[in-house]
Amino acid sequence: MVVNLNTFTYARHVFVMRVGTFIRATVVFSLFFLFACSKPTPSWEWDLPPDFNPPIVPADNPMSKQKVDLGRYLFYEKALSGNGEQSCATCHQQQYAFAENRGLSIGSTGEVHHRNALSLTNAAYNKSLTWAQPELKLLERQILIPLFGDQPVEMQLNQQKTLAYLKQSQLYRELFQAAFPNDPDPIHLDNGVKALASFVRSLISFNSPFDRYAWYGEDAALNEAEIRGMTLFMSERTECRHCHGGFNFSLSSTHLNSVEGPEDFHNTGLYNPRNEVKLDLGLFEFSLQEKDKGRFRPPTLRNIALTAPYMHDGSIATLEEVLEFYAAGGREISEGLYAGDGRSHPNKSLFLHGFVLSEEEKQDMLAFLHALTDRQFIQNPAFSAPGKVK
Amino acid sequence: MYQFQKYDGMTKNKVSFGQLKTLTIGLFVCLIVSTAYVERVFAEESNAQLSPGLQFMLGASEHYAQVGAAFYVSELYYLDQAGKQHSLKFEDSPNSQARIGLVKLSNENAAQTLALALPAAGQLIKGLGFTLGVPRDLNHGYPLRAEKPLNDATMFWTWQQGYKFLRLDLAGGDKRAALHLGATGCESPAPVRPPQKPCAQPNRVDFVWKFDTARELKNIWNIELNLAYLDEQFDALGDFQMCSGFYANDTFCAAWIESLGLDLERGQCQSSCKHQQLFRMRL
Ligand code: HEC
Ligand code: HEC
Repeated sequence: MVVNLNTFTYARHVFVMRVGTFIRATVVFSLFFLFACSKPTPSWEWDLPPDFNPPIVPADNPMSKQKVDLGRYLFYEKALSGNGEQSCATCHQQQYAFAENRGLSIGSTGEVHHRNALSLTNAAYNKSLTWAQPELKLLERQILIPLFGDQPVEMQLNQQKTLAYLKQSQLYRELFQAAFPNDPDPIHLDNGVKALASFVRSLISFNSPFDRYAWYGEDAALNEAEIRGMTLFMSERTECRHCHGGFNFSLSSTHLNSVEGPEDFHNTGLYNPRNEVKLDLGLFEFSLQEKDKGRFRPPTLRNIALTAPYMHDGSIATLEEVLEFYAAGGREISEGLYAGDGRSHPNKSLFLHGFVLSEEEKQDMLAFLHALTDRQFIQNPAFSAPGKVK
Repeated sequence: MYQFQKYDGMTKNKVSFGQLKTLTIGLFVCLIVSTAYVERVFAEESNAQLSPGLQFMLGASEHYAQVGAAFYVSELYYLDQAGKQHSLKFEDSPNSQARIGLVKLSNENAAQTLALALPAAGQLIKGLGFTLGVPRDLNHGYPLRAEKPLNDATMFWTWQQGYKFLRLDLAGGDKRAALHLGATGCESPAPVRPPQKPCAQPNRVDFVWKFDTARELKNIWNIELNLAYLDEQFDALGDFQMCSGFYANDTFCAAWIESLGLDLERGQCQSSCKHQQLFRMRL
């Protein structure tokens, strides 16, 4: 008889694997019980629809109510800016879903930012942060930009002065102490940033009429026009879903149980100037690759009706004009500095092929975009300015 | 004989719970490390024979400088010597669970293997088959509960339509194309409600290769994504070609769907899918 050696080795391997897996499972289980008995883990309750996956939180900054509390005070704290007149909330206002109602932001020295303030709706789920920085994935790192950035100037934090101010405040001493109980000297920049990041992570919004319809099964949450608009939005005709798909209306979103996709940045045909002019080139500024010119991250469309004006430079005023822009397959600018036809930009996404909408269909789509507004989010007292700090 | 009495020692030298805990943890850590080690040694010993699977590869293309391809492979089976069908499972991996695997190929990543979980070793088989696509019962599940490999937003259309079974993103010369295949004609009250009935065009494609002589199942099966056939369609391709539904409305898309062996109206293969040219097995 011929003994198939490979078969034997294989069977033995499988057996060893099984035994190994069994032993390890037993061990992990026992360890779990040993620890479970002795150490309560701090926890945070995410306010999510059924079966939603929570966002990814870095291991060195777990969520806690105390940190979020402190972060909220800091978010509204004007002492964080060099001139004492600006806080995060100057540019990220709750009534506008934590964006602002101006095209380009203005920093604490009056310098105009080259970009439109992003809404912080569900920022915890963003795969990368800002309009176009693929490597910027951690809120803890992003937050250093408004605090210290000088190109452009945002808040121009004076660290010494601000820390001195925080330390002399009874309230801040208590808040920092509660948030970082194991740190003997908790008032320092690193902890402040961790608390701000925790607060921004807590800005979760999944309670729009769309969410009630989609995830809670409430058939009455959307009316017929809104459902027709959603059907158009998610169709191959408009292809909005291609970039603004998924649970967060942005394919650049991720959660604990999702995988990465390659296509996080797109050129939507906004610009294609005939003349050499200085222009925000988005992803190109990082990769320096020709194919990345004019590519930006599709932002979430949640609460989009609250965050006008639109696009990375706030150059489209209303949602109706955004729809006309997409229907035309991009934007032609006929005169001025940026004159040129964005529609024929070589990097423009294939999915912006243009389409024709009847007036009724346009109204339906607008109705749907408005149904992405979460009223509870902009009225939630847990996110609003805390009382005055003494 | 073993005496229960022996345990008396424990009560005399009192061991505190803390010490016991440290000891137990230490012991357990040792166990974990040693079992992992033994496994590794065994794995190395038998590695050469141990990774049977389907290896998908990008074929050569004359026209397309940039190729991105992603597709779901499901309902895997083999044919025994009598021609009887037996289902096969994929190994659990980041890209696969038992019934379904996701393959992503590109110029940078031109080959990917989906490992097979072999039922028992040593079968001789006369054929191998699978379906390109996501089985109906998995295609319209609650999207937020989706398990790998169905938790990939770039492969998802809507709850109503389900997943993109195949996506080819191509660029060559001045032409660019996005050819996305999935079920169409799915009816439900809204895109975020699953359909109760099967979609009008399921658009799943069945592949099977039958062998003249029996072969060992425990093998690497090389399957090439045939780009030469896409080259043939290059001239018919528009500068910016997109097929992602409404296939019948566009001459190029219609021809592409038919080249997969699918009937445009019914979204199924005419009699069998054997006319497809998308995949070739290299024996
Ligand atoms: C001067 C106005 C201004 C201030 C003040 C400001 N921001 Fe911003 N914020 C912006 C702009 C503009 C962007 C987009 C930046 C870009 O794309 O380069 C942004 C982006 C962000 C983002 C990224 C959001 C996303 O979806 O990627 C976060 C998070 C953020 N800001 C948090 C903060 C915090 C926390 C503070 C206070 C420490 C703060 N910001 C202060 C204007 C401001
Ligand atoms: C090819 C990908 C893509 C498609 C398709 C697409 N978008 Fe966008 N969308 C983007 C990107 C990228 C941005 C940011 C562009 C910029 O600022 O330069 C954006 C921005 C927006 C904004 C402004 C967001 C803000 O906070 O300012 C709205 C509104 C919007 N899209 C709606 C839609 C609608 C409606 C559709 C379908 C008709 C659609 N998009 C289709 C990629 C896409």
